[in-house]
Amino acid sequence: MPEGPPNSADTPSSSGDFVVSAEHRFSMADMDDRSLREAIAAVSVSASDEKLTQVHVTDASGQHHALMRMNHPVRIQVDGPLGDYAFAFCAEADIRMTGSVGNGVAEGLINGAVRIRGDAGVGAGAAMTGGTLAIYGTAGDRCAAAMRGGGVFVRGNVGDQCGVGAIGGMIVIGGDAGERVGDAMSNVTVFIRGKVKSMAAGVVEAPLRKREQLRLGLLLINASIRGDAKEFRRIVPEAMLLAEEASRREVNPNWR
Amino acid sequence: MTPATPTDRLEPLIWLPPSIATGATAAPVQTGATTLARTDGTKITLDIPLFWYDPPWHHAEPKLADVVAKTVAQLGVVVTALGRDLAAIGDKSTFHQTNYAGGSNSDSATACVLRRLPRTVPYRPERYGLYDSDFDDAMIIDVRLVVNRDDDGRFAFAPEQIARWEATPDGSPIAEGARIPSSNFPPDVPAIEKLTSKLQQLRILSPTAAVFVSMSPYRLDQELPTVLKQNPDGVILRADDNRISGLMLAAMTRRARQWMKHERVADMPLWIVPGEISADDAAKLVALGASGVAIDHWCDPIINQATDATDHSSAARLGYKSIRSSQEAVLVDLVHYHLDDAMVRFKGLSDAMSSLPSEERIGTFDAAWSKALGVRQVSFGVQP
Repeated sequence: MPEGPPNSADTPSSSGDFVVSAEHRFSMADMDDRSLREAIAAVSVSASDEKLTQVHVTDASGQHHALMRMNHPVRIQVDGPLGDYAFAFCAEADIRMTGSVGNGVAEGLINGAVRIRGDAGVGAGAAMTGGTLAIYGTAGDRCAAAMRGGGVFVRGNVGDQCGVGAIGGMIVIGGDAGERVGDAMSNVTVFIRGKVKSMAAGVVEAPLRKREQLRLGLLLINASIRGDAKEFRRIVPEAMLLAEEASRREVNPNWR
Repeated sequence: MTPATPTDRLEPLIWLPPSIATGATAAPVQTGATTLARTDGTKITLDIPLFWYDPPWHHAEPKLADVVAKTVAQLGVVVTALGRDLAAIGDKSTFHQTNYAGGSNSDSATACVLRRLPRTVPYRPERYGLYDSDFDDAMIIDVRLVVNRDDDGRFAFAPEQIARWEATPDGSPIAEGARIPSSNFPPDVPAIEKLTSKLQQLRILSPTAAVFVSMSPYRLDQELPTVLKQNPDGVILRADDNRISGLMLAAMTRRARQWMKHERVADMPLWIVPGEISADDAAKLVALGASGVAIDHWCDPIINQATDATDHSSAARLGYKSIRSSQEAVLVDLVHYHLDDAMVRFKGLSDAMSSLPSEERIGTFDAAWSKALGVRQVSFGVQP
C-alpha cells in the first residue's frame, strides 16, 4: 500500500456534521453487540426526514463484527475504533464514526451512509449494493472490491487493486492508488486526484467532461469531502468508454 | 425408462457383509439423519448426507428453478441457492419460505418439528447476487475459496448468471454482456490465516447456519491444515472440475479425513463434490469418511430439462402454459424421475452399512486400492 498523507479527518468539511447532542446514549462497554443492536432498533424514529433521531455509541475498543445488519433510519455516532466487518449489510442508517476500522467495513452496504473519520483495512465497502461509504483517512487493498452499486469516497490513499471485480457504482479517491486499479472492473467509474502506481489491463484514463465535473462536485459535497472536481481524473473500463463514445457518436478529440 | 446410470468410479471397492460372529441379521431402524454442530454448539440436523453444490439456476426461468429447488430439498437434499437465483427482484422464492417436517428419513421425535428447507448460501468471493436476506434461516453458509468456472471452462461468471443476480435490463447488460471474471479469495480478508474473523462474522449474520469452507483438493497437504486452523464448521472439497480417477477420489477423501484427525477435529463434517457419481459411489465415499456427497450429476439434468419438460406438458400443448399447478406437477415428476432410484439405493446402502463398524464396511480385491486406502483386501489366498 502506498504511503498515506496525514489523516485529514479533522477538516471542517468532514467533522462539522457529526452528532453534537445525542438523544440516546449507549456504551459498548456495558452491552454486547446483540443487545446494542436491539436497543438501537427500539429507538423511535424521528417524524422529520430533515433531522434523524440521534444515537451516540461510546466505548468502542476494536470489537469485531459490530453493528452489522442495522436497518433503522437513525443517525448513529460511534466513538471508535472498531475491528473487522463493522456495519456490514446495514441499511437506512446514517452512521458516523471517529477512529479507525478493521477489514471489510460496510461490506454489502445496502443504502444509507457510513462515514469513517479514520483509516480502514482491506476490502472496505466490498460487495456493497448502494449507499455511501466515506473514509476520511486511508483505505487498504481491494477497496470497493466487487462493489455492485453506491459510492465509495476515500479522502486519502487506497491500496492495491482498488475496485477489483466491481460491477456497479462509483469510487472517488482523494489521494494516490496502488497497483492494478480497476482490475476486472465493469460499469464503474473511478475518480482520482493523486497518482496511480499502475492500472489494470482493460481500464483507461478518460477525459473528465463538464457534466462529470458537476456530478463529482455534488458527490464530494454529499460525502462532506472538500475539493475541486477539476483536480480529479477519470478511470473507466475501456469497454465502457467505447460504448459511451458510440452512444454519443463522439470522436475522440485526440484524433481530430 | 430411468436416467442413464453413471459408471461406478469406486467399483473396485466392495461392500462387506457382517462377519458370522456378530450375529447381525438386519440393520436396525435408521433415521439416516445426522447432526452438525457449529463451533458455538448450535446443532443443525441433516436428513440425508447429499447436497446439490452448484446448480445452474440460470439455465431455467426463476419460477421453474424455484419449483425444482423446493422439490429436491423436500427430499432432504441440501440445495444451494441465493434468493436471486430463484425469484425476480421484489419477489421471494417459495423454496426460501417453505417449511417442512424433515425428509422421509426423519424419526418420530423430529418429524413434527417444522423447519425451513435445507439450504446452502454460496458465499462467493464476489458475492454477486447475495443479499442480507439470504442469511435468514440458512442451514449452511459456504465460504467458497474456489474460483468459479463458466459453462465454457473460463474462470468467469456467465452474463446470464450476472443478469439474473443483478437484475440488469436486457438492453444494458453489465460489461456490455461480456463474461465477468471470477476470483478465489474474499477481497475483504487479508490472508488465509485471517479467515477466522470472516467465518465468525458469518455465524453472527446467520445464527441458524453452519459455516463451511469450500476449497479445491489439489494442494490438500498445504492448504487443508491452514483452513482447518481457521475453525470452520465443515469443509467442502470441490473435485468436480477435473475428471479424477476413482482411486484418487477415494484417496483424497481418506487423506482429508486423516488431516482432520491430525488437526484434532476428527468429527468435522467433510463434504465431497465428486463430479459424476453413482449411488453406490456416494455411499462408498461416506464409508471412506465423507459426511456429505454432492449429487450435481444427478440434479443438473433436471434444471437443464425443466424448460423443455414444461413446454411439452399436456397443459402447455393445450395452450395453458401459465397454469402454475400444471407446470409444478411436471417438474415434480421430473425431479422424482431423476432422483428416486438413486436415492433409494443410496439410502439402502447407507442403512445397511450403519449397522457395521466403520472398518468392516468396505473391502477390495485390488491390492493397490487396499494399500492406498487402508481397507481390507479380500484375496482368497491368491497372491497378486
